[in-house]
Amino acid sequence: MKILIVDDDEVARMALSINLGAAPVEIVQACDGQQAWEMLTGGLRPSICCSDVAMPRMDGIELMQRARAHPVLRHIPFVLISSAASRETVEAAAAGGVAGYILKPFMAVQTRATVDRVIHERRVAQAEHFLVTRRRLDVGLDQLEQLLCVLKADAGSWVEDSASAEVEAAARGLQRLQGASAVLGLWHCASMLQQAQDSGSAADRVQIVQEVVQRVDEQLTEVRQLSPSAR
Amino acid sequence: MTAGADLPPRPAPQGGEGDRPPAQPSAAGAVFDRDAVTERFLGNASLFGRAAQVFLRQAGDALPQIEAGLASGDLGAARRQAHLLRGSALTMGANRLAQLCQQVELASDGAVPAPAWAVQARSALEGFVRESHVI
Repeated sequence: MKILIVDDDEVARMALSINLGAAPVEIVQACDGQQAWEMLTGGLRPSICCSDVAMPRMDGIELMQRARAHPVLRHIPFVLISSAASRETVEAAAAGGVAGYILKPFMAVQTRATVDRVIHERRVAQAEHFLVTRRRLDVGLDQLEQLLCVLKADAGSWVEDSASAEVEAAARGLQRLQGASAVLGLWHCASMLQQAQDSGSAADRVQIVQEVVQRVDEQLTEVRQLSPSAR
Repeated sequence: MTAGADLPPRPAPQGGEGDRPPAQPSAAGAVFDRDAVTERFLGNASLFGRAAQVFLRQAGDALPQIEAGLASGDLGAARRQAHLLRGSALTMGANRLAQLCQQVELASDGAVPAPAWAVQARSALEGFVRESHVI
């Protein structure tokens, strides 16, 4: 799991990294909103973004607003961390769907509790726990793993074929992927695939299905991390 | 506590002429807020020491710039530097220095005399170094 920390204050980034960087979390740092945006559009997919508000080049509110307008990045939860909060800032943060707000100087306990809460909420909203899926489908973990592998491969093929596929065939493919995602408890993937069918450009649809491949892969990793004895 | 040495204990009060005044008892104005830093850095002196080195470098760059901004009437530049330094100071528990930075952030033209402010800010930074044992 990756956490993106965005702050122009190196000391704050260090202190936050110490508090949030316990294994297996990987901390990624950006020194302002612009650098964070370049990382995100370059493919970085953090589970959460903890961002300062006032920064040069691009502030935390603009970073969050840009993410919200992006077909894939819109789902990244933001926790804003600031030493001061004007009414305008709080209103803009709320309008952008901020998931948490922490005042500087932050306290370790409160910061970890807020970040843990947001990550938990994201997990619950994104996918059913794979053990619940296994029970619901009445399959073994090996079978569930196989089903996830098939979904991942299908989504990968859809991306590869997207440039040459006919419009109707591509739409049917999206529908199939959406149905399989829902069956496998990948709520967020199903929702993104619905969004891809409803609107967006061809490029957005490809980006969304690429994101689905990554999310299915994350679920596969979780399934595989369960010890063989627990299976 | 996590791995690494604990933060150093609070220094014993010193007497005698010429000694520096003791830190203010209130955490809000303390030259070093040990309790907050212990919580924020999980009690790990090594991690705190690394952050403190960065902070001292930042403060060493920012203080002359703030002083110059105040002296020349470029309050905008002084405020920007003061805002940045205040954030770092609060994270490091250098609350007295953070208060002085806030004075600059909130000041109107000419309200903060540069030489007096610089003396107080350097004293606050020295107090932080002395009490936090970072050097």
